[in-house]
Amino acid sequence: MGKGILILVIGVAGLISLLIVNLNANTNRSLDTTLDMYKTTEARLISNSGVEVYLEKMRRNKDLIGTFMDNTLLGGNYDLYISGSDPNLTIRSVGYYEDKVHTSIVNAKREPVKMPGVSSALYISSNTVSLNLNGNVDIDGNDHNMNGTAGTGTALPGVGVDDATDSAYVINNVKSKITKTIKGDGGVPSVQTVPDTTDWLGLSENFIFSADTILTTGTYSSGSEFGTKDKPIITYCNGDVDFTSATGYGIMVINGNINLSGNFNYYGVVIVYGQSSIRCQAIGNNSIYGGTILVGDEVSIESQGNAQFYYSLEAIQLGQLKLKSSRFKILSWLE
Amino acid sequence: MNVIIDLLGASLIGGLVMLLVVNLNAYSQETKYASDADLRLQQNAKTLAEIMNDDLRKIGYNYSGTAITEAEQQRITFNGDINNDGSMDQVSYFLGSKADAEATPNPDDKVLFRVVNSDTIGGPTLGLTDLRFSYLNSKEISTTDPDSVCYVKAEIWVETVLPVGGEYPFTYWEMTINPRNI
Repeated sequence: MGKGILILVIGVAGLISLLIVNLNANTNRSLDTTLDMYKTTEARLISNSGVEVYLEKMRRNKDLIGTFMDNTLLGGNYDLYISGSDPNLTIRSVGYYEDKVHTSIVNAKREPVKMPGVSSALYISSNTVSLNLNGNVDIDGNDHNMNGTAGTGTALPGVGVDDATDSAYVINNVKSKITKTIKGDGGVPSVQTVPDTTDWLGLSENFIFSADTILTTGTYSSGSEFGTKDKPIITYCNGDVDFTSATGYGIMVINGNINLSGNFNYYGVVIVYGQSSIRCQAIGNNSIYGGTILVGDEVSIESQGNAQFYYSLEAIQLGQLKLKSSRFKILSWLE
Repeated sequence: MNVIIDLLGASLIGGLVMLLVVNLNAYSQETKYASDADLRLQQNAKTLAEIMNDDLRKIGYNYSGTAITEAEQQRITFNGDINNDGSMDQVSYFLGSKADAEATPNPDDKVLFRVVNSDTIGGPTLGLTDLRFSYLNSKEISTTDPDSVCYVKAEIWVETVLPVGGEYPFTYWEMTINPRNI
């Protein structure tokens, strides 16, 4: 009798244990189902975030390419592979979260740079303009090709200013010899008020963000090259710069004074902006084909020797065609 | 006489214990069944959500035109290279009728049809009883214009395929997807 009861009690206890184990197993599987979805989602978020992280890095480093393994993120990690070249960049990110793996593949291309609107060969936007032009200064709003021959583009003013007072100042304060060399739309001297509502500061900051080369205050000489015809670049000069025997193609943004000490030849748009006082000094043989823009509270231009400021649609279009911004256009995103 | 009383007492106690064991076993089975059904319900809902999530995220992938061609409450058709093989796929999701799932005990479940390039796949019902798509523009305002769709919201109602205590417990799953290619 005692044994029978013992067996029964053990049997009941076993049954209850089985029930509990079964219920626990289901609870665990239920939890696993939820966790599985969570882990899958995390792996996808990690791989997508990996792409975003590296797109940001690629914005700042236009030459970034290769394989970048084992990047830690959100409790997981991701491997990132950048291949191809613009405009066929492929970014593949493999995200890992515990036992889950997710791959995202993104095809992207860099957006072209939006070139600044050039309204004259030399545009001056300032409250106070100071000119001291000597030597042979050619400012020509007629279109020129980069080799110096005449272009087919519509002629612009040689010098563009914000208002009639500045226009009169330029005409009255330039030597008659030089007045005759300010050519372009409207005849000699081609100095006109040009409507301009451009946010030069904002525009310059956009270019700075996309800059390929950043120069600090200093002298750049003896064959310094800031882009080529095949590969124009965005150059940002943060400070006062002095160029001697230098060439460049693309866009040059200067937050400071510019001193051209001879044999400086630039093809594209030069924007000097930002400081309350800007001094643009040219000595020797210098040329800028494209457009030159000076924006500041006080702008002072001094020239000796042979300086050429030529409007060149070809140089501007070259930049428009070949310069790459730091913005991406996402062509496709597989996730 | 004492022996008879002992036997009767022992039989009574033994019978009560046996009754307890049988009841416990029945309860155990019932609880396990309900627990299994609940688990399966959850797994079915997750499976349906994963299938749709995986496809809907690829709307417009490598496709340059208007990716969504049908944007209805219970049907969506879109273009995209869903298997990344370089060729365009047209994918539709729509909910069948109750008649498509007559074989299941649940009288309300339906089949979710997934059509890829005219290849129709209607899997098991997985207890799906209702499906609704809604479409939101970039400001997350409801729209019916396929061109302006930026988000696709999918809602599914899933019941157990088999009854539990004479009823069909249900679960609801909602997801809002922002396909990156539209």
